[in-house]
Amino acid sequence: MINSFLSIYLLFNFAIHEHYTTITNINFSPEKNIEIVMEFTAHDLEYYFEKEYHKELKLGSINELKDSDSLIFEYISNHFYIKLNNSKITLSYLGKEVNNDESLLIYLEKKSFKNLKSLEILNDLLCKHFPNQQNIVHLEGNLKNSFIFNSKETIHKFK
Amino acid sequence: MKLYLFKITLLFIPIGLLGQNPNLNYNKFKQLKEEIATPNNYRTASGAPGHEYYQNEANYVMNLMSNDQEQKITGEETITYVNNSPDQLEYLWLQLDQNKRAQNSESFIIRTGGIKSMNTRSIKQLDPDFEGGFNITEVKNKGGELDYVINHTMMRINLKKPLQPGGEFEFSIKWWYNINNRMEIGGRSGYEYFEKDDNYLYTIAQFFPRMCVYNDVEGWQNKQFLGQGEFTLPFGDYEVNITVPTDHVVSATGELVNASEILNSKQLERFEAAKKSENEPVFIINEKEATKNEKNRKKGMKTWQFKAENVRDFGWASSRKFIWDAMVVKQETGDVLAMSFYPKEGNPLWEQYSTKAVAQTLKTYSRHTFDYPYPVAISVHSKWIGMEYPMICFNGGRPESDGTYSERTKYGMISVIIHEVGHNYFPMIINSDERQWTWMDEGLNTFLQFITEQEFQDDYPSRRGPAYKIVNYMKGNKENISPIMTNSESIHQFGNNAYGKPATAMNILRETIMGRELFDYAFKCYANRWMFKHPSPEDLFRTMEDASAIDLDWFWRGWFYTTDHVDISIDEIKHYKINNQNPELNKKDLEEKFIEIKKKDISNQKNSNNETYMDKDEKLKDFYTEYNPFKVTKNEEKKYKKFKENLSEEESEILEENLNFYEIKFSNKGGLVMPIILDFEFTDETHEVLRIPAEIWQTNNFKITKVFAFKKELKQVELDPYLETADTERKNNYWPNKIEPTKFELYKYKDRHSKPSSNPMQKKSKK
Repeated sequence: MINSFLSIYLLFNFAIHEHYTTITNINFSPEKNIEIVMEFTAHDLEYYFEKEYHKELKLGSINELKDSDSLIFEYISNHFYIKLNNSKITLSYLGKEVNNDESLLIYLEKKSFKNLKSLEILNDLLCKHFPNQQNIVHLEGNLKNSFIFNSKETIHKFK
Repeated sequence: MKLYLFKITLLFIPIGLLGQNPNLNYNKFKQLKEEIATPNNYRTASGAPGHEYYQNEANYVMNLMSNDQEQKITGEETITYVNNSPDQLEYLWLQLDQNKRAQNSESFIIRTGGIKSMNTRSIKQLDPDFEGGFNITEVKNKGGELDYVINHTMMRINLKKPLQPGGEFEFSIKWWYNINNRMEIGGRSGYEYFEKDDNYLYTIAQFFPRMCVYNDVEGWQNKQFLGQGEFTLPFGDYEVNITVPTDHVVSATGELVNASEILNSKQLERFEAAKKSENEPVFIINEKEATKNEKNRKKGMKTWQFKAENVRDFGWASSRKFIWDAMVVKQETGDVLAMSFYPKEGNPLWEQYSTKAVAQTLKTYSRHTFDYPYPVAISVHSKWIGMEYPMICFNGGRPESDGTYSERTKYGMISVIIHEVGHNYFPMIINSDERQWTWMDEGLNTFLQFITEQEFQDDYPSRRGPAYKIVNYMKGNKENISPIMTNSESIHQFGNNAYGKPATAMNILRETIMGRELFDYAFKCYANRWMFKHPSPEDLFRTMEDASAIDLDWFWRGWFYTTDHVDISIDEIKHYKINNQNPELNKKDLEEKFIEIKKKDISNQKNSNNETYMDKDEKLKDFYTEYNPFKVTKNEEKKYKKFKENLSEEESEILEENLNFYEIKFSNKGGLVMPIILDFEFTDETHEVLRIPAEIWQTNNFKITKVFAFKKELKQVELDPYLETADTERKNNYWPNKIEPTKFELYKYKDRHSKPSSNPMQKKSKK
């Protein structure tokens, strides 16, 4: 019986809809700002919201949920964080961009970070409903590094 | 035992870290012989089927009964299996894909993941109330019941006597299974329930026990069906009778044999008209009629008869809700009917685009492969998914309930139709092994999908194809990604690995490495060689080389066998000129530099109008006041004359050209070798683009230095100016250094309020 839990995977056997990937580029700029561009497949996030919250985001249409930005930001805040020197930083949400090739870009920012001694990131975006989800994080700038998160590895300390 | 293993691991780690054995050949241009199969009489070294190539055949006659009350299918099938192999077969293997949904399915057991990822809703959905999987009720042949064993999704028939080469074996199976609710528990096939009008829409596939492939590469391909790796099936002829409620409309692989019995006279007339309509689809059932039909609850059943020749599978769809339109696509080798079946919920998108997208796909794909060899190509509307079968596919793309749709929905729908119809070519006709290699059909198909989209409309927003779109996937950490040449079940990031990267690689091969002319011929050659056959990866690799005279081993190795990425860097540029010893030119040069500095000097600039002491007092002047150090002396002239006399003709020509030499140092930081494409801009703002083949890295895979000579002087250099090599780091592609604005900066500093809504048609209708 317990094994059957895992059959949730069945939900997403689509032949063309094979994404399950987000890509986050984090730039620690020379001006000491943290600039983040997070790329989702719009369809994935919509599907996720339908399954998890019974909400239809309808991104990029006039019928788009009025509070879709705050819902998305709240979702991201619960499933993604950056810890600098052991304390979580507060990100601000600049906005989003929905494109016709299904890419959904989210722009986040943190102004003036302090000296970087240690860096820890949590990223379990979409993992709850897509067990095959992979979340790529690229660090840009002097830190140049990257890591791929998945449902088993959701927290990573960068060295 | 465990401790022992641990010790061994510890021992091996440092060795692994030390890296490769320096005495072996790790050159990125090393030939692929060790990676790919040795050619033989079944498959030649040129990539073609060999003179002893064979494939077995499976022919089916099936009677199906659809139960709309209980959402259940009952079927009986007679299979005639033909053994064209040179081997005796002691047993036959069949695939029971529905067993993936059985409660003891292996795919549930092996799937990993933490309990954290569960929630109450998902647990409720997964409560295995649904009794999926095949119920096999009879397996027999003329001699009586047959002995068989079921191993999860595979069934072995134990033959009393081995099936001889050239022999045939006819047997029959009876079965039934419960159809899954696709909207609740997912799946490639299943049903969608429409609550408003209490109707079901069935899209049915992998619904019958199907023969496995037996061939020279795998023996029996009976690797279990776990969900990701799709299908491998032999070709054969199908006769299928589908019995459904009398008011259902059925669409299926193949030609409708008894149209005259099934359709009314008006529908028949329209069906004939569609066969002549080249530009616009003709409605066989229009929306009004379909909307009326979906309210029907007529008693009785009706049997639709279909016939399909030389196909590897069979799929079908059935509903009261279907609107049906069709138009003809003319080909030299015969006409094809492009058709669509969709409920009114698909409109207005479906009536406008579906059948035309089918037609465009056939035209573009056929040009790159062969004429579409089947009589029909069908697109059926099925919310959320895209899934392909021979001649028929199930596609998503549904407008909102008010009939408007976002641009994203429209392109999503057209793309999925092009993609799934395109699967007719890969893998339905060029019948690669999907269970083993997802990329062979998904990657090649996504590549032609991109070409079709670009032919459908200017600036079509294709998601995959252009090199720069794969950069974010390829550039980072390699721990959790795998090479393209990875078995379907072991792939991380299915979409990027098996669709995006191989499609991009083929596009790069066409645009950058081979050029369109050589590529298109070779690719078409691969398609025609393996049409209605079972190709392996090496057959593609070899054909592309053999038909073009381009050694591509390095390309396949880098793009298909590794996770390396492209990052070529311009490390350093040095400017040289030959000293032609001409004192006149040399001194002129020195003078110019002297004047330039003088002009720049701030004190000089400010003092230039001042009258000096010497200006006032002529007596301060002497020899040196008028002396010009930049004037050529007699002695120097003499020396130069002597120098010239000693030069050969060739040498003096070079000297007179007065060329600029640039020594450029490049490094390959990503590991993946690629051509070096350089855009040189000169001081007079003219450009020259130079394309250097990847072979420049042949002897040193990581660092090279090359000298370029120009008459003009360089102003700047850009590497990969047309974004065609998937170079992941563009910061090191410029000389002098140039920083491109990041996506973040572009977003933050642009006027965000100017972007129109993506569903302006809704706004319009609301006004």
